[in-house]
Amino acid sequence: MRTLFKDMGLLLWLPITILLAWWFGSANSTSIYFPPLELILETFARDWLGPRFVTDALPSIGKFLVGFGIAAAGGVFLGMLIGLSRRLNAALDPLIQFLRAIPPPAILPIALLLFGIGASMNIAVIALGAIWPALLNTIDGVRALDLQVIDMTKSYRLSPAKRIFKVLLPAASPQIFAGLRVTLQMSIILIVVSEMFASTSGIGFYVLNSQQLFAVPETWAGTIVLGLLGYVATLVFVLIERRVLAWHRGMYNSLEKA
Amino acid sequence: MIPLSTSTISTETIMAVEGLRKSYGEAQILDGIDFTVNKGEFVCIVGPSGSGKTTLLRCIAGLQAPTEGKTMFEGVEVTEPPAKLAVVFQDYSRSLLPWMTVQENVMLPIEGRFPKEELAERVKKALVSVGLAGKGKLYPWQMSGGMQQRAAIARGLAYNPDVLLMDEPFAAVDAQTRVELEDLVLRLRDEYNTTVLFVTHDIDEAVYLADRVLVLSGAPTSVTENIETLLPNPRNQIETKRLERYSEVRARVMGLIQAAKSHASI
Amino acid sequence: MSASAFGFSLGKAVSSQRRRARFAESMWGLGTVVFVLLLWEILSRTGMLPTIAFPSASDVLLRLVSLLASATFWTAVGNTLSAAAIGLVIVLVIGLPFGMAIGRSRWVERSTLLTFEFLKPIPPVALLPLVLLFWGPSLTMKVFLVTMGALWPFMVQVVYGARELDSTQLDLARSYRLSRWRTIRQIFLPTLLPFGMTGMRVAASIAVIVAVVAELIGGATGMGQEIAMAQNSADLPTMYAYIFATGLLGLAINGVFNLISKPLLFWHPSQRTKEH
Ligand SMILES: Nc1ncnc2c1ncn2[C@@H]1O[C@H](COP(=O)(O)OP(=O)(O)OP(=O)(O)O)[C@@H](O)[C@H]1O
Ligand SMILES: [Mg+2]
Repeated sequence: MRTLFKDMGLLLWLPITILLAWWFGSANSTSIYFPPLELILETFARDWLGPRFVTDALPSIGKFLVGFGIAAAGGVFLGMLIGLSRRLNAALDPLIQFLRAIPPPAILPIALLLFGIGASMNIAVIALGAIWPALLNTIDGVRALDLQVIDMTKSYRLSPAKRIFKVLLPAASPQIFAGLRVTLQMSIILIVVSEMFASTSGIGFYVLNSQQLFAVPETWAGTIVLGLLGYVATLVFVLIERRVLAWHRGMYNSLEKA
Repeated sequence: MIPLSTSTISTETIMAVEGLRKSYGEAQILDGIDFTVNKGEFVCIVGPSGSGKTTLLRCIAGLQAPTEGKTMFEGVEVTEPPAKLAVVFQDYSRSLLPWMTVQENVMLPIEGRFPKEELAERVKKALVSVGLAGKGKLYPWQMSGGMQQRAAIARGLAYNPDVLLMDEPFAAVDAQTRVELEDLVLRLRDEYNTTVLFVTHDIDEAVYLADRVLVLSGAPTSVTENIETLLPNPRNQIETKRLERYSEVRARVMGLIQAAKSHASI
Repeated sequence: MSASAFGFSLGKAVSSQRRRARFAESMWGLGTVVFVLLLWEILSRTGMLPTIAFPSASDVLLRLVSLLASATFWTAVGNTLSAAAIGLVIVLVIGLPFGMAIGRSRWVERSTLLTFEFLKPIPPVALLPLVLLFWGPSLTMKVFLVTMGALWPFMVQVVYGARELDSTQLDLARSYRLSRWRTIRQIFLPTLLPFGMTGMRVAASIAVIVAVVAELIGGATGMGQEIAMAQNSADLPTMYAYIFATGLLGLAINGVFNLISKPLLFWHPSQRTKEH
């Protein structure tokens, strides 16, 4: 009990200190750049716990989820196809290496020309820009499948469905998840950037627009929303990853002990 | 003294290897292997490390095409893994899937081929046979090496094969566990009435287990001898190894292996 | 036949075979690239690709070549690269001591855990409007964003490396009374280096991404701004040429990391060629 309290104290002193310092340090601030934290939080509550949540936050979250879903599913699916065929991998490798080296936000103008302003443009940018880590990690994971495991699946005549869903995907899953995590981070960056680049609604649009109108508390409040979005998305992802890869952690720990 | 080579007593051939050659590029590994295995027999293949035992076994299992010659299983030429043949692999830590429990591992090959109750029954029976009753919910990495190899054997048994191929299954476990597992395999052979082709580099293990021992030469490899052990069943770790016949066969195999090794290193 | 002679010829046969296979594979890769470019050219020339979004491949490549000979292009590359590089140096200076402290001290680790775990997943580009407010479209603005984006991935790796530092190795150093300098050179550096390199690799690719965003949206000078300007004047070949150039820049940075990893990490398992 005692050590628990001590640990809580250790965990909490820094965040609490920072928040208090910010709160009191900015309380009487007259600087236009650093409005009082109280004002920022009031603005946050007024806008984001109110109507804007439905008109701006929900659409942004929706587009982000669809884009991430396409990038993740597409990356894993194509990665399996490419990883299973030596020839396909050899043929596509240089092309993939080049495309993934392009900073994803750089394709924004192309997507804008193709799709115009709207949800499909945001989604397309995420799908095309964030697919690479999922794709490359899936290819690597599939190619690293143990030869003896392959022998086992053949000699026990496992059906193709069993081979893929019970053997291949789980075997590659630690690497796939490592890739998906980067895909997730890139998706968050891209939804924010694409809404800043060309959009008439959404959180990204709201923040950049507030900045251009010199609405400083709104800019701060929007930044906090974007931060929260990134934080929550990562948290949910980590929870899912822990569940799916529980076996992997268990095995790793048992090897550590040995 | 009992003659070392006699004609086989058993009647029906279940497996045959005919003029099998295998090369990787310019490197010839197997150089004309010929032998047959009769139904119900326990045959051990002994060869020095790197002599191509795994290569031979993969050809027999239909996992790899021979360069020349063929292997027959139940009268049919092997071109793909036969349905009535199960393999227990050399490295259990790599052939059991770590994301599945032992039970799921054993069930994997037969899932969907039987109704649910029969499936559960088969898995349970296999686990009981290998002494893993009640351990089905553990993950492989929660068990010792010996238990993992038992699980791998259970997976082979639940598949209900006519022939069990085993590739140095006990090479990685400690000596005590090994003795237990040897007796386990002998018991299971009777219980499930399977034919066993057992690959090992351990001469004692081969002689103790086998009805017949095939001795391989060093690379490029061929079968140099085909020795019937003619030891009484059931085997016993102490009694059997005390028999004069045991020492005789053992010495014979040892001599052949040593000759093969010195031949290879000239 | 002698086994050793056999083994020797075997090794040679296999390696020449492997070399041939690798050559064939790179030919396949080259073939695909040429094929895609040709397809693009034909589709755009025959009007099957929407001309408002796609210039022809030859126009883009020719424009890229002429850009490579222009001073504007290299100034833009220099602006993007210098912001990324300055940011990375700051990341190194901040990330190394903080990462070491977190990895070696439980007190520091527990104290900073919540704060850092909260800050880490925040997308760096979310700060763009704020930093624009503070500094306008300037180098400072870019460097700050780059630093915020690239710090975490680097620091995380340093923490892993610091945890890897074996206390037995450190005890060994103490018992042999190794000098401080030799302890650092012979124990700290070899353990930390592979982690630091991995962290820097990730940090560098994020740095370029963030710099391009700061230019494309924030209006700072550099390749991103050139892309935006070409887009505004509907000069598609130039826009595509710059986008391709950012990809080539990414490849070049990766190439540099591969080059310096080899001599620095020659003893590390990641540098050994696979045996099969
Ligand atoms: N795919 C392959 N390509 C090239 N050479 C191979 C391949 N597989 C095996 N070999 C070579 O064939 C020889 C025999 O290998 P094999 O694994 O069959 O031996 P083994 O008797 O099972 O050895 P061990 O006792 O170590 O298990 C070895 O020299 C090996 O290097
Ligand atoms: Mg072997």
